[in-house]
Amino acid sequence: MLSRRQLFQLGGLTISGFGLVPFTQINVQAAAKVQPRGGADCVIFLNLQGGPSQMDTFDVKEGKWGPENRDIRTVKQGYQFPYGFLPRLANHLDDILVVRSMEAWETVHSRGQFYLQTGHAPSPARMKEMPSLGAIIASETEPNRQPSDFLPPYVSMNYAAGTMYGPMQGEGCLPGTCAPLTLDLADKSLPFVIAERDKARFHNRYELLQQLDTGAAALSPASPQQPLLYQAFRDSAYRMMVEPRIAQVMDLPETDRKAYGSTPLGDACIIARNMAAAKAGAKFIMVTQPGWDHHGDIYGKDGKGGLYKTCADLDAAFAALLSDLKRFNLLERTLVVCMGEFGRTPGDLTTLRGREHYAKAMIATFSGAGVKAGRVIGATDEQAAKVVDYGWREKRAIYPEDICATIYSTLGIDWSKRITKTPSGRDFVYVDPAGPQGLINYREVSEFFA
Amino acid sequence: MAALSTDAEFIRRVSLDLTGRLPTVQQTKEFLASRDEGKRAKFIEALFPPLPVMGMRSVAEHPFLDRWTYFFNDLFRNGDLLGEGINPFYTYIYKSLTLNVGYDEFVRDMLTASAVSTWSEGAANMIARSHVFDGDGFQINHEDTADEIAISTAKLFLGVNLECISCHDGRAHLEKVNVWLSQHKRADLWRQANFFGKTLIAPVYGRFPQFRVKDGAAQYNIKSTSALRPPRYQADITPAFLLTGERTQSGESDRQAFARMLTSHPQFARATVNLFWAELMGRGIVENPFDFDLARQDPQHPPAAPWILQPSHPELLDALADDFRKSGYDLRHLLRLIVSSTTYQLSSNAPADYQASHASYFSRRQTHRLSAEQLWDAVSDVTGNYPDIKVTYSEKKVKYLMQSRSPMDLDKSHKQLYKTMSAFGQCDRYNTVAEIRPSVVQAALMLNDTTLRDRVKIAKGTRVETLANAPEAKWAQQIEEIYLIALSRTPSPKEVQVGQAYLAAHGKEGAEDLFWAIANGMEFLFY
Repeated sequence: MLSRRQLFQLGGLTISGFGLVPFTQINVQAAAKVQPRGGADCVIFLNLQGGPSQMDTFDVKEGKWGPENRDIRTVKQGYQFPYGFLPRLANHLDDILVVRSMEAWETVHSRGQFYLQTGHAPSPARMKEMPSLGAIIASETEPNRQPSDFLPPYVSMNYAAGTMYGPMQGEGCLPGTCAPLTLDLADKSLPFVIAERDKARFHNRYELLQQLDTGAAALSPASPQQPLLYQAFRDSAYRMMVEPRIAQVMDLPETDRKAYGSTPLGDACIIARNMAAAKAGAKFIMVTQPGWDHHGDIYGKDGKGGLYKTCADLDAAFAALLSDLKRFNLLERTLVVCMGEFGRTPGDLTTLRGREHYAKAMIATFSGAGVKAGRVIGATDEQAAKVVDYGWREKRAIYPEDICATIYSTLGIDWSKRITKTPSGRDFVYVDPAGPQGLINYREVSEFFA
Repeated sequence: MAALSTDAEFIRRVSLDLTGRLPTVQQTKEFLASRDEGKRAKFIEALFPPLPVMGMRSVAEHPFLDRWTYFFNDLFRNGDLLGEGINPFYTYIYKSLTLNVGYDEFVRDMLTASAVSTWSEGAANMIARSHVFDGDGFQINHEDTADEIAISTAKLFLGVNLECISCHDGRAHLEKVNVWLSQHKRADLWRQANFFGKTLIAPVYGRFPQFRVKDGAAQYNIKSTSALRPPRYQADITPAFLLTGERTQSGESDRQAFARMLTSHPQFARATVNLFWAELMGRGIVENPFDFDLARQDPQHPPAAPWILQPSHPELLDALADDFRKSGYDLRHLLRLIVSSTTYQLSSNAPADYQASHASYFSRRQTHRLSAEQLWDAVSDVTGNYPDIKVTYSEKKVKYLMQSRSPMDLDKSHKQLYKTMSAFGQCDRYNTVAEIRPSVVQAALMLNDTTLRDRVKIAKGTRVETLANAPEAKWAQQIEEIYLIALSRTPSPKEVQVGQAYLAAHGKEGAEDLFWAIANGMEFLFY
């Protein structure tokens, strides 16, 4: 049986981890007027898929339609919080910055999610080639990858494929190494984890594969692109699977699972925490929590379901995540963002006892990486129907593009850069000043950090 | 230019391309042994199902029909947005291919089909798929629906993407993208859409996707509010065919006029042959097949610099289109023609001076990954272990993924396999088209996911069981059979040796491992 060292040397590859395929040159130009702030090694993005109700979560509003047990209490600075829905997060208000003055551009799930994941309008002509936030981050951080990095730069967990939310946005016109590594924690087993009892068997099989794979042995730089890519990916996957530290990253002990709520969301947050702690190359980790699309019975039935479920799940996972990131001294260098693709309609409930999609007010929270937490930015009217205080120096609401610029900035990425050699011939600017309402000078929300 | 493909390369490739399946052990043995000079042509012929003849009661299910019905199901996005219309639509397509209905007739039939309910009448599902609900999910937005039909029919049958001009005129937007489209306006699309202006597509009961399709019960109202696009402006929207300006004549309905004009225009034949060329060759003569720039097609009238002619081989495209038209738009004839060509049968081994930029010259075969469905069915055929996939809304069960009616069947009966297939780029009949690009997740799934690990286990009646129970003297023969089915060739003496040594060292587990290793090999996954 081959020693581990010999296994690593198979195929003549010398770099471990993810960046095995020679990095294709993409033309990137910067406008050279942006100074990214840095401060984050890693971003964890909680994607509240479906559109969370702002007036029941971080911008809570009183109303006759709201159940009593939301337990709305006034916190410092006149900020109100639903202790009934998010009790554990109530103890972490000093760790989060709440943004209430956001607006979305879209009210269709797939379009809103596209905006959230790319910072761009879903133009039919360009959707396929537009790289997502994670892919850009993978591309930008690639030159700084260490030989010891064994995690992919862009990881996505629990995003349901092929639904009305649209596909998980991938690498677009960027190389395949910028594609997300996708994991679904609802699966019984993760493909990247080899159970201890299966390890010997796996090594046997893999060795046999190396001996028999004449197709792989015959590959040369003149071979067609696809098999070359696949072989590089297979080696990357193998390397991840045999990396001794991968077990620690993917480990889900029962005590942790309980603390995080014993849900796929909780499990994914544990892994996100582990990936941040491993400092092994993961830069953008998106964890999706579906279920926020409460068109009907938003307050559940008999105190169960609806927001009771989604809030409880988020509460446990998010609070435990913040707690652990602090405990392990990771929060200073990890940016944690929590938001959905849009908000929900204010005022009275619909005939189905729910709320519909709404773009004119939505919430987001920021933590870590230099964010000045324990505050609120912006404010809405008494129903959370419209923004009345923008909360920053610009005379407009905060949009998904501004959030993207902020995220890029904390990772040291110049968001004014553009990719010029795209398949359609149109320049792709990381954050494009030309938005749906004409030219808007999107920027990082430096007020988060001031 | 590359040399001709080897026998093994050829037989595996054409079988996967025409039927979605690996050639059988028997077929492979016979083919490799045969010295008949015309054996390739005969092999191709044997992959086609019989044409119906007088007195036949029916035609049995056939891999060729499975594979191409699946292709059209992907193309027409036959999926959960049609609800229980999936099965009747599937059956309609299957039947049309069984009878080898001329492609022009097939398209006209679907464009002009009506239905009391799309859940009982298949053909009308093609246009009903383009339905657009208003915000509340109970009413259909009639004008948006007509626009979507115009967009999808132009895309699928003319290769022209009208989506750009559905939101804005071509001018000041598309000059650098598509010369022809930059000269057209939103109103051109609406005039095209208005051929369906009088065709009502309405939900039978409300929210669920069961539709009535009926002519004469509606009207395209330019002032209506769009659920999807910027407001329309006032324009003359008398139905007119985008490519010619022709209008409905007396004696035909608007839809019939559109169907006639569309299928008799030369671009119909050109777009169709290009689509099937791309499907078989991995790349269209015009790439991609839904992005034709009609102002850059004619070698006699080339576009102004810096634009170049769009088709890589304009004379070939025209010749194929002409031949297709003359054959009566016979799909089998077209497929047979392409796979019989030297171009198709070239090896994937590159000639010495090959560069990546030569791809459009078709001077070598561009190997690509098995599609999600081909991969799964190939694993089934190699191991002899078949999943039972239950067809949704039916009691029927199928053995091959390529026989499923929609990904919903898999989602409902094998959730884990469904996720694996999604990772391998299965078309979801909604947003995602079929994708064969490799990814790290795919590699990890092949190496360690339960879906493959379970399938190579020793189970009753499988080839794995046969190998595991075979005495040592029979190992070489068994190994040969595995190579014949998986890779369409005999193993080298070295490969047999390695296999035998492994079985000797690992016993029954070794049998499972051998199947696993073959399935993870590059030669298996690519063709």
